[in-house]
Amino acid sequence: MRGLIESWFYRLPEDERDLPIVEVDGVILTPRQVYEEVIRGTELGEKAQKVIERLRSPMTLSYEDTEMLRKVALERAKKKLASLPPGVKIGTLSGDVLTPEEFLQRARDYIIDYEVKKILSLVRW
Amino acid sequence: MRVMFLETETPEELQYGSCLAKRREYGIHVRDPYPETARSAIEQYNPDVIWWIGHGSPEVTTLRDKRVFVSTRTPEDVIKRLFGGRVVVAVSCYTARELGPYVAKYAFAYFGARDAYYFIITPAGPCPQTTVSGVRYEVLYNASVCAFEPTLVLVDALHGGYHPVDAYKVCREKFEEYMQYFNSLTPVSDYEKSLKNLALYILHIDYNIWVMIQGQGRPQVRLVEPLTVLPAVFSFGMMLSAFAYPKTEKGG
Repeated sequence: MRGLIESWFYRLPEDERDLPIVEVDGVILTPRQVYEEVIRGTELGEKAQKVIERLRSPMTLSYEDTEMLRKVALERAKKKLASLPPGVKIGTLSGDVLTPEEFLQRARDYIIDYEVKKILSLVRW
Repeated sequence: MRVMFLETETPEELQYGSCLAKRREYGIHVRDPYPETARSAIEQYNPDVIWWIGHGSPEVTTLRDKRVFVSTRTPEDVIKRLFGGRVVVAVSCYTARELGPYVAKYAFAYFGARDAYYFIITPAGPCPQTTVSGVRYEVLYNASVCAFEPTLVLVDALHGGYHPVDAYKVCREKFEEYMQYFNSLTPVSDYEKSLKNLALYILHIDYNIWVMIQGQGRPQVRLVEPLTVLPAVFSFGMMLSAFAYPKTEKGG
């Protein structure tokens, strides 16, 4: 089982290894953290591995997993937009000029949709 | 095909789209028009395709200084005179919800957004000539134009004689080309990494909300038959969603 997580981790694109991927016991973990916890043989690592195995299956997602993925998706988006060059904003053609934080709030559903698909493709990588 | 660009520049953020229209070396370019200027230009030059950029809502689209160009309250005879038989490309938020179907009663086709249309504003300004620290020029340029260039590639295709259905396909391919560009980009800085991610979010949204509404108006000029056949479910007046774009082809 440890070997599975190890090979999965090393198959992932490098820029994805430090972005949030799952939440376990209220802790949001990146692939690198999952890998490290599994290597250390911790309970958190074992639980994280189970979550990833569950998400890898093509079965329908449970309500709890869907909610967890939505939360992780937003965290990913916050992290991804955290280093925009100063002065970059987001315009809309209804007359708004938004900060990245306002954009994340306003376009939340579209961004979550994008990131949940991305997470599922990564756990199945 | 006679094309008219209504290149709204006020408020200034609209220049992120109009700067790209200005680069087209064909068509009639009406610079920063008030609604009355736009209306008289349409009546004078009788274009087959009208592209504009302006702020909007489900019922209204505006031009210079956010002055109302047309709305669902505009009398039908005015809509018919302005857009009858024409292809309308309205780069404006939300109009595909209510205004689009109203205009499409007379237009040949209506292109517009069914939700908020997003774009990136940078300190280097519209169609940037300079860059910002930590970001390569090409990356900044593509981030600045990627929301609007597909709408103009659509007009290029219409100008080249494409049927609106096929022009829409070309437009979607341009969105996909930008997505591929940003997806395959290897950032050289954290600034570039975040800008890449922002561009991918914006492309994801705009790609999914930019729709074509088949109009009931007859085209003013004879158009070639579409290469792409619409499924029967998409009859006149029905909206083509991004997800349901037809895939079947009739062949040459």
